[in-house]
Amino acid sequence: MRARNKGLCVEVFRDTMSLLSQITVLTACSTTLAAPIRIEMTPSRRAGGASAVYEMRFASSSFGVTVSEAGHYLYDVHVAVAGLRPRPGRSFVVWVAMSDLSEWVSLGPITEGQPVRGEVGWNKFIVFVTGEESPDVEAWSQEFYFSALSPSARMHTMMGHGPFSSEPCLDLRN
Amino acid sequence: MSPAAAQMGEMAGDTGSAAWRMPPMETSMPMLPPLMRLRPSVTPFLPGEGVEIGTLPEAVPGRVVELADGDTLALTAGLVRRTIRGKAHVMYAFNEQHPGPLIRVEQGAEIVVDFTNEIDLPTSIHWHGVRVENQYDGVPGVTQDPVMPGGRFIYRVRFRDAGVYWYHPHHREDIQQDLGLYGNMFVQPNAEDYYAPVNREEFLVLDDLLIDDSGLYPFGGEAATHTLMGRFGNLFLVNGEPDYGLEVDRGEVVRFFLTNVSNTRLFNLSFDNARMKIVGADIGKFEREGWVTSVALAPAQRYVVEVRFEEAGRVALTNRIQAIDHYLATFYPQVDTLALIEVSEDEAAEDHSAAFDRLRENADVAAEVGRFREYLDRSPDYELTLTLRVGDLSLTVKQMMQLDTLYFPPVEWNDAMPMMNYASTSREVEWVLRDEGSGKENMEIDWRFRVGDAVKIRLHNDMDALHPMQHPMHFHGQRLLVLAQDGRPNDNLVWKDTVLLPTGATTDILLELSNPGRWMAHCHIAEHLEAGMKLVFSVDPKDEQDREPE
Repeated sequence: MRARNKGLCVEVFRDTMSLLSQITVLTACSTTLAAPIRIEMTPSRRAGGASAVYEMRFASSSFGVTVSEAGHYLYDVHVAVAGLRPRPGRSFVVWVAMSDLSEWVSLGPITEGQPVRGEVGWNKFIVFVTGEESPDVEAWSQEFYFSALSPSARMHTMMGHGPFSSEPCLDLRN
Repeated sequence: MSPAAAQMGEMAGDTGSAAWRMPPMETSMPMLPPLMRLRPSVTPFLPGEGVEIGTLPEAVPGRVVELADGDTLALTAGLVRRTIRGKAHVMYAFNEQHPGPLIRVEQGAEIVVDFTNEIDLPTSIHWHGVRVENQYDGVPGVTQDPVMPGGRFIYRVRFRDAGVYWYHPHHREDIQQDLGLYGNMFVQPNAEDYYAPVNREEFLVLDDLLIDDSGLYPFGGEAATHTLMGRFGNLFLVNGEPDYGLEVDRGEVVRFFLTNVSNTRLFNLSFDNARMKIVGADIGKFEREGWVTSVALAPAQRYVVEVRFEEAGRVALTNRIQAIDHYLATFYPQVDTLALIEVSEDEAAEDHSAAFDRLRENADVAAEVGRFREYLDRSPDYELTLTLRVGDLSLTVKQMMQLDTLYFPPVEWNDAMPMMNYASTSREVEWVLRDEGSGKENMEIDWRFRVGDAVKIRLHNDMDALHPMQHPMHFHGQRLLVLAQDGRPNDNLVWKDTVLLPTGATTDILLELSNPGRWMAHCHIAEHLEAGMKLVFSVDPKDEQDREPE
């Protein structure tokens, strides 16, 4: 496994707006200007009552649709957390990894009042938040707080259909 | 019959040139048995029925026609014999050329085009991106009657704006454009330094053709097929050639004018490791040039890029995409070489590397578009939703589409559902433009403007439709600016006539109303247009002086 940072821009909001307003802003974006994707991340038991959400949309470019030279979509990913209490000696770090974990990158530390934004150049990926001893670690310690798949994970294999199918696929929309 | 045999088009008794057969598709793409039984509900059509192919003229490569103000061009759409990789096909051509003649004029010139229709379908010519006088816009049912077979029409085309444009039919363009009726126009700018100095300029017209061992794949006769995703071809053509090549000297800077004339395919273009600078788009230059590694070119769009070939050797113009395999639910890389550029050891006659290395800022463009920035913060005047309505599609198709709708990529680069796509016609599928203010749809919409108006239109590509897809939206007769994408302001504007909306995107455009008449706006995926995705808007003259284009 190897970490990868090339071609991936990481920006972190440094303002001090409240956690609730961060989530509200993200939500407002998704209703008025239609951020195409908004996903509530799945909390682990460690997260307690905390919640996290990530939004993604096509990265912005004046030169048209944003794809890499190889044809991967470039997405802006925004992650915000709510109710995540500080842990002594722990930094909460946002990661994005390819679904086979062959490559990953840290989007940086996240706290209440400090959502994280980054650009992702993969088609299928996982977004997750871990607790680390340092915000600068190169790989996660596997102390998971939240995780979510990219929307492309919903792309449905037809191998599960036909006479041998038993998957309740259509229920996934509800 | 094995699935593999079917995929190769070997359907017993179905090998006639104008009979439905399994559409060509990648052999690695297995199909579920119910899908393999699908057929379009229309009659298959190919041109030249009853015509002996040997009697037709062989299509020749496109030629350059330089025209001065007041000149007349005789342009004929006719049947040709086109030999591709040793096999002859009946196709269409303007003046027997593939692509049609490249029309070169100076900015401000007006030409007369004496057009004759010698193909076997009604037709017309639309001068894409050119702000022509309304009666010459070439839209049957809106600006003229179709030109019937054997008929004639006189167009007057005035070129107000510098840049690269193209002409094509606006009647069953899913058939006619795909079979070769397209050509570029280049309007030489009045300002000598409009573009940076380069060693040469090249015009590349990009297309794809759907073809198999039996020949050209049939089209829908009474109505268009492939209305879900548009008709993807499996043979790439550059300037009509499947094996296009170019020779340049080492160190040459080439300005490429790229035009996508395909029915539905979006290209992601790059020149191997050669540096590429993006200069302009549909109607003119960007405010600021920029370095890019690739350009994504949607149907009908143009981009102007400059490329420097620094090392001797071979450089490939490639289309690199991440295709989707729905069967395995995976993305996979697909790389197609569209053209080869042979770079010789000889030094370029002139060294333009210094100009190439500099990114120009175009104060003239910034000054012109700057007055529209105030619209960024305004509420939209109109909101248009792009969506889909399906009728009598087979249950299998509907079920599969419901499953597929769980995820749709922002852009579909390949025909990932070829059977469902080809079997869908405009009888069963209606693509919809819905005006959220009035609730009216498609041709019911009747927006009225006045010359001098500028309106902000919010376009929303509905991701919750049964089969959402990207849409290149084209507005006739006017220019537009892309103000914002998903709420993010665009700080580098360029005049355009076609804007691409990825699935789920919300795009704010500023439409400048400068040209009176009744104009069409539509999705430029040819099959989506055939499936209803169009509207008409009127621009009234401001006063009597405005009855002619400004």
